[in-house]
Amino acid sequence: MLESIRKAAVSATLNIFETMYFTFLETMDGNGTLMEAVAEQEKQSDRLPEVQSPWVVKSEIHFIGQYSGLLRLCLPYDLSRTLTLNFMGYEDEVSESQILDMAGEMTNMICGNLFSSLDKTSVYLLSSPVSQKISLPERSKRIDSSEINLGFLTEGQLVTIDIQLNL
Amino acid sequence: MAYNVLIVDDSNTMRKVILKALNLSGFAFGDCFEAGNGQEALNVLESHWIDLILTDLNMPVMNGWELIHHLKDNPTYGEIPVVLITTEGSETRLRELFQLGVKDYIQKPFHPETLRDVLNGIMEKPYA
Repeated sequence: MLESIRKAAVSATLNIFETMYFTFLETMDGNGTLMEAVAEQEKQSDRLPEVQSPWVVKSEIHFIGQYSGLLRLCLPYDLSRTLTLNFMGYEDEVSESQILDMAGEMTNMICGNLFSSLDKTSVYLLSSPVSQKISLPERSKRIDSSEINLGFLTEGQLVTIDIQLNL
Repeated sequence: MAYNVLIVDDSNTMRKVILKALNLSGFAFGDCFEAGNGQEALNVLESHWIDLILTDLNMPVMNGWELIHHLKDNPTYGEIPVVLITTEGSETRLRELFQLGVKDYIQKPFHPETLRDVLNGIMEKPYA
């Protein structure tokens, strides 16, 4: 069951990034690798604060249906800004509220697509996504406790998704 | 003929993205109006001529379901074609929405070409 959700989440995420954000992701395998990547990103942000923002955009959505729980998406802030520009077709600057709104919409799309691809007949209720800016160490604290942890790389930046299921 | 379009979505960025997709799609539209939920959509309908409504489902204040019910019960707005643009993919729920009179749906994520094909198909025979 966890494996089918994991595969559906990977497929939905790759499709959404490519279709709506014109961004290609590389999938990372295994939780160990993911935790190492998160730790490495924290180290890099300490060494190179001027290159990489130490902030992450976190967006969460609750789902209720055949499976119930929480899906959490974390995007590096710099990447979030680029994705928002791509999403909206803007060339200059976007506001922080637009970045948070974009992250919420992305989370909503990933969650909706994930569960509708698992079973076309099931009905799910999704909450409104809630997005906020958090620090890098705050992200790594939250990843451990989830049943499903996914990591993706794009241009050296790490995107994580974790799914907590009410089993 | 250019059609006036109303985009209903609680995400401001998604409304801008749908407008961008409309521009890219080549679909002939005139004025484009925006609403952040179903109630705001009804307010827009009171003061502007709208030919086509593109709406999300999950929204605060008044969601897409409630909006569609309001439209169906109103003789003035009941004939305006409604297209869902949503993450919803449940066939069970979509069947119920089609029974309420929704013309078509586009699942997010989508390409502008999909939007054009769906909208052109509907506006060729909007009241069918």
